[in-house]
Amino acid sequence: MKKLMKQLKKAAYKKMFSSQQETTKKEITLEVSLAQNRHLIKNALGNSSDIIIRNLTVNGVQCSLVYIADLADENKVQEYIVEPLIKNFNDKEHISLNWLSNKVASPKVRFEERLDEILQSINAGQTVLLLEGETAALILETLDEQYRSVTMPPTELVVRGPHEGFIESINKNVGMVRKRLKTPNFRVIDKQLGLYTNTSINICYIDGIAKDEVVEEVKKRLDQIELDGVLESGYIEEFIEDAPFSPFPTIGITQKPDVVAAKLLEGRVAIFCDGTPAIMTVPFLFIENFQTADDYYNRPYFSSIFRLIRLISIFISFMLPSLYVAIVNYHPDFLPTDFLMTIASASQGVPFPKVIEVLFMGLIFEILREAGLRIPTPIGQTVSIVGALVLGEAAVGAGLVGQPVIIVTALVAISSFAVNFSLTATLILMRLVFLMGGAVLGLFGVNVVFLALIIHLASIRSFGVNFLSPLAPMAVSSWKDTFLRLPWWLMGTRPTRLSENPVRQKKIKQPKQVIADD
Amino acid sequence: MIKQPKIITILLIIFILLLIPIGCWDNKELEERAIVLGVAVDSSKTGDEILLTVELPKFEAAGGNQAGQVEPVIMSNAGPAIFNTIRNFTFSLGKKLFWGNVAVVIVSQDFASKSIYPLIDFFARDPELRLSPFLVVAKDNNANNILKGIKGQTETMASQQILGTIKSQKETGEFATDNLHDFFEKLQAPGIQPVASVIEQAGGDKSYVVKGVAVFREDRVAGWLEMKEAKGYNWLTDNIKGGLIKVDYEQEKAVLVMEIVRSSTKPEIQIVNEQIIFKPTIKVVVNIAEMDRAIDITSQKSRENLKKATEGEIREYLEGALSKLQDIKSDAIGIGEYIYRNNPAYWKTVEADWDAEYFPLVKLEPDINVSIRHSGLMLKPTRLR
Repeated sequence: MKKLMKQLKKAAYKKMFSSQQETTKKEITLEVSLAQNRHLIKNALGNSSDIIIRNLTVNGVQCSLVYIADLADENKVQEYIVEPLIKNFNDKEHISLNWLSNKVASPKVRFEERLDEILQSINAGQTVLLLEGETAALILETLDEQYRSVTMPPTELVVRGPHEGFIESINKNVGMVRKRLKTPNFRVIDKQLGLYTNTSINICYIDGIAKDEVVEEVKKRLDQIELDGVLESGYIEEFIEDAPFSPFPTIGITQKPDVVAAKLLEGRVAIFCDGTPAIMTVPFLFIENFQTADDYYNRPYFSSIFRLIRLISIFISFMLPSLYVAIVNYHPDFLPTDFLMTIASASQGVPFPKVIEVLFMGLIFEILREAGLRIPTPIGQTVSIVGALVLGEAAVGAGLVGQPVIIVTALVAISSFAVNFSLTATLILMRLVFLMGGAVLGLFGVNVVFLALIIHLASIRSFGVNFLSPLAPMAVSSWKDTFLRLPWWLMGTRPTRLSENPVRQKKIKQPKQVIADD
Repeated sequence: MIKQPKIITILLIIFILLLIPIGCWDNKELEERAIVLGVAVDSSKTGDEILLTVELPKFEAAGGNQAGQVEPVIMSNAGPAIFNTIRNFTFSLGKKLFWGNVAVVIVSQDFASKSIYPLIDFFARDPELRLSPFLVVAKDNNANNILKGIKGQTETMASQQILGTIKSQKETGEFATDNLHDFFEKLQAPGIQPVASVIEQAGGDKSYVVKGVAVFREDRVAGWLEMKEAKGYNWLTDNIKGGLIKVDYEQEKAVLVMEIVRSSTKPEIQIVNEQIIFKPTIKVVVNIAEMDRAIDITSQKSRENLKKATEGEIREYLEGALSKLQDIKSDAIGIGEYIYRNNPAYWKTVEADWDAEYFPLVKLEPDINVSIRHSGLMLKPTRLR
């Protein structure tokens, strides 16, 4: 299976990249003549209508500005480049690129001779300044940095923590994290991915906390990616994850800068991708699905109780339908008489077997969920009315579905929202597998599937760390932040296996407040 | 390349094959099961067959948002053995009987005085049946009459009402609370005889009463303990969790009712010159619940007297129970078992004729210790003028 996929991939890549690789072999550099250079660039960009070439004469010498409208900020071009050049008019000066580079006001200035580099800069929103008689060009930063404002991410709502969320600009995103980690040890490694998109990828970590091997591994895996375009971090995620066939994600996704900062502090590595607010963190462990940002900002009682509730809800979400079918169909003697009679009387006259009922209601719920996501907001109310009233009430009223099944479906639905959003699809899939086990073999089947699940979870790793750690292999010292969240003054060490430097705080002191009696 | 699809096909085939046996032999939809709640066992009129009566709930189809109504259905069948009889139900029922939730097993006096063994054996042997249902003997009656005759007043199903009655033994302490498991254990253990509760048909607005204890010798009913004796029996076996004691307080010519709060019995046996003396230590905590005349109970002396009177009353209960059991010649208390555990050498010498010879000669010397805790909300009773 894996071999087959690999071969297919290789074949596809060869086709995709063969034409591209030939052209990049010989390097084209700029000529002496300005007109020729303009022509060169224009040709290379295929005379696209949004390429703007603006000719100026500074001190009698011809020069040209090349940029792309809308990608570069026209105000910046005017303010940073054109205005300084015109204002600093001086007859005596000899006009050279060097001289120009001192006059322009752009924050980033760089010389470039190679044509493909120049083209790339133009495509990245920079402005190229060409000068008659020079074989190099000045590349000036004029990127239009207009993004949506920083808002709370809709998938990670918090009550107490910061409401800031990532946006689509990689620079801004890295900045938001750096703002929280004011240390010289914060490291950013820049990379470009995607043959046509040239997307910026930044690897961030804290030197001295993150494991070097993990950083190296991330770099290595990113280098192996050959892709024509990277539009979202999901494109890379699928290339670098450890268990691509597992339903469980082995790479963490978050949209909150405070979460990324906290994970970096635990020794993880963050991968930023331009154009997306979803930032990846590795290694990603199973228990991270139950940890939320709020856990660390609220008092430990609050956090621990709700973390336990999240754990219970994942069990409900996985297993409740299968347990219901298995117990009612195979082991009704498990139930107290009154309970059994209630279920029996509720399912009297229902024409379908329990499995079909549960599957049917589950399917309806998933359709409702998907429809609710896609439906235009003005008619969003229809979903809840049709879904809740018509389907739920009417199905029971018509005797097509028993009431217990509605309760089971509703409980599962609610519980599935209590855990990490990225587990949604996993939950649906595992629920189905459990249901099949329970329907075919009763509680024995549920057990078999459960064991298989545990074995699977224990067998996968994320960037060298066991996915189930600190549960398996057991590391009790890390349990301070697993089922419960102990007070900060008790968490003197970082989670094991993640960090090079396990000591979080050197001195752990239980806070004691003493107020002198008057 | 060629091998890969093969594995996938095999996996697919396995998966499809797994889907086919949905409906494998243990799988049964709840609608296809008839939940048996109560069982009544009689000997048939000819005497060589077993008459089995079951109580099943019948559910009206749930309509709208209303959960379905439940109605009891009573069905009977006769057969040469219990399992045959159960199988005979399939001829007429249309569903398979489900035995996991049986609450009570009622046995007629006729059946119980022949042999209850086939029933116990079947319940212990079959995987679907449990030993948790309570065993009740219908005195002077057919068991199916009891099941048919009861119109559930507090519960829809007669069996559940009987179950509730037995569970409330802690309020009275006047009947046994042995289920089939206890019965089975006592049947096998040396030196102890099994017992069961007794159910009787009653007139008036009550359709039945559970009262007294049926004492078995091996697998047959050997005799009955009436209310007071039943209470004494429960006291001797440490099965009193509450209830009332009526005390004749002769010094003041008053009758008081005490409510038992706690009671514990620790058995102790002494063998002096071949004479077996049963010396249970009984500690009872009571509250004064009622008195028919105003007597002062605040003084130390009157309380001491009251305590003595209560202890005397309890002693009567115990003696009544033991002497009745000795008449029946059945050691339902388990004195023999106690000897077997603590003095196995001696037990060997008496084992053979224990119930008939030695048990009737056991002497009772109870050490009763009553403490009167509270007197309700009144300290000094209202003086009548």
